[in-house]
Amino acid sequence: MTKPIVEIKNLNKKIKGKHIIKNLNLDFYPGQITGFLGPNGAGKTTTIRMMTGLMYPSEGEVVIDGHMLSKNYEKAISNIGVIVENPEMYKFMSGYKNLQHFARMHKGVTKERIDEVVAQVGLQNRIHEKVKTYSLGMRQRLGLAQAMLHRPKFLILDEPTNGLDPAGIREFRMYLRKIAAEDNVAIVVSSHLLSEIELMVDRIAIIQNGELIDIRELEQQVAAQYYIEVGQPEQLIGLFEEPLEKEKGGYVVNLTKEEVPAFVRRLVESGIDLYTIQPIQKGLEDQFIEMTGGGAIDAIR
Amino acid sequence: MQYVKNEWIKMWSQKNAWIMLGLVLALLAFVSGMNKYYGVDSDTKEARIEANENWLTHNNEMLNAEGMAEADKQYYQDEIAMTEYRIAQDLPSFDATMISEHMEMSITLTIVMISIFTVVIAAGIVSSEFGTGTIKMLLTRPVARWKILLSKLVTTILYGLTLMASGLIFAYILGIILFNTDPAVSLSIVNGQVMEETVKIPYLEMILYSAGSTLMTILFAFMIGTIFGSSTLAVSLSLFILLMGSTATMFIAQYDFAKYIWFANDLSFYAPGSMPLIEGLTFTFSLIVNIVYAIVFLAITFIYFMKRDITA
Repeated sequence: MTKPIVEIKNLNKKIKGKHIIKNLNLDFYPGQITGFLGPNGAGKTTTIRMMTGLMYPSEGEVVIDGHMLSKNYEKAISNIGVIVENPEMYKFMSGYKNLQHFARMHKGVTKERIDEVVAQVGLQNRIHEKVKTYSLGMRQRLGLAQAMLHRPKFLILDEPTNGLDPAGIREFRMYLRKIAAEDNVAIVVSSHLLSEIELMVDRIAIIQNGELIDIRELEQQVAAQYYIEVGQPEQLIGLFEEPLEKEKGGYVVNLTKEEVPAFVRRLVESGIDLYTIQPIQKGLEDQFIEMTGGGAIDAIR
Repeated sequence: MQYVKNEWIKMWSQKNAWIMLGLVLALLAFVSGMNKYYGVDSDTKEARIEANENWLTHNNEMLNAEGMAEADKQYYQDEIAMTEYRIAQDLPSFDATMISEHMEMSITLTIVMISIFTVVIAAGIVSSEFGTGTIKMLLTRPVARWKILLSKLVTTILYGLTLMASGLIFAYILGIILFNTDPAVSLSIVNGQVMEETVKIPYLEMILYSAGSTLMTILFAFMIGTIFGSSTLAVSLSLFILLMGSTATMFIAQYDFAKYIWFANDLSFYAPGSMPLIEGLTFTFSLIVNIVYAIVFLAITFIYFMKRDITA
């Protein structure tokens, strides 16, 4: 694997004696989109705040592109683009003036770059209007624009799909994919809309009670179970030694992908009519519930 | 500085800043207008003579009253001599508003308003960013926190200076339009001779001493606003000290510790025509007390802002 752009090393945060983040270790790689999941109060936002210098860790270190955040703040943070919770903008100014304002705080953001980002998020028509006239979705776009202005190597988006309509979410997903692939940006997306995240991330990191409980690449999730519907269920059951799990109109069979062609041939040879065979993909949400325990999903507000 | 430019743009994008500037100008115009309307006319030769003769008549009547003490008699005789001198020299009457007096009044008025309005800005410039959550956007930039805080402090002070400059220029223009631009003269009688003397008003001293006192209040408001994130608290505490500082000083003047409190050492007490409320204070001592407090305020503000976790 390539060198990580961001390393979180043994991060701890205690506030008033409460241990909020416990020994968090996490790396982020260029071009990879990571979903950061956890129930409410698990420590997602606290972790993000420590990664962006808004909060100071009690212990541990965040290293961004080789610069320690605690020692070399300005260098380290210049690689980060961020939306923490809602994109709060200056409502009394136009979207364009907001972008100019933030552009002045970075080195080398030209006027052309501002226009380019505005076009990328599709705000050309309304950019000179005051932010207070914007809908939540437009504010999200403007938030993304300000985070992208300085071409960060690491993009942190806290609940970015909040307030976007389905078309907007789709567009947003494509945009993230594009900048991850083309500009090799490492992206972290935290969200409570688990099904949203599932479609846009390469891997997920799950945090609960301040502890990282799982990191997994989504490609690894190859189906090991198939759902089949046949004309002669009795004969199908006879083919297996162990009893089959019945679901809706068909059965769930334990199979690996490689075994599927042989299995189908066997059905045909046995004279069983095969109507349907499809892999069962467990959604991220199911896995998430499994891992954190069903009761903890108060993240779905 | 780019960051000061940012703060400057943000400040003027909000109505507050414009309304307060408008109020300074409006109040100056109002007070000048009232002075012009109700004041003694000295624009034309006829008006000057009329005003002086009114005063002459009044003094003659007083002189003719019975049972006058010798000293009082002398006083009215002097007044009559001086007024006759004014008529002879075509000078405005003693109570006519001259531009110098207008400016003196305007400076006092402007400084009071600036203190209040700049405190409002100082109190809100940091706390409003916490209130709206934009502080997160501001502090996740490659700019050290102290630079952002400093840019806000500089912007606040620049706002105060802008109000001061606009107020004084506007007042001067009003003065030229409305009032007699001749230098004010005060007359006195020395050995039976009328002596003429030009009135000199120490404008610069007035401004500098008051500005010192205003700056302290601004630093205090800035500190409270930054630490508590509440502009209401910062404005009310600062205005309380600004308006009640002298009264509070009088209450505590009897105690020893009083002279170590900054508002008891308010520099405006040393402006010409004023004096410290606590006996025995010297300008040097007060200046040192003020500087020490200013450093403490700034240190608390900056250290707190740099160390704190942002949870807004």
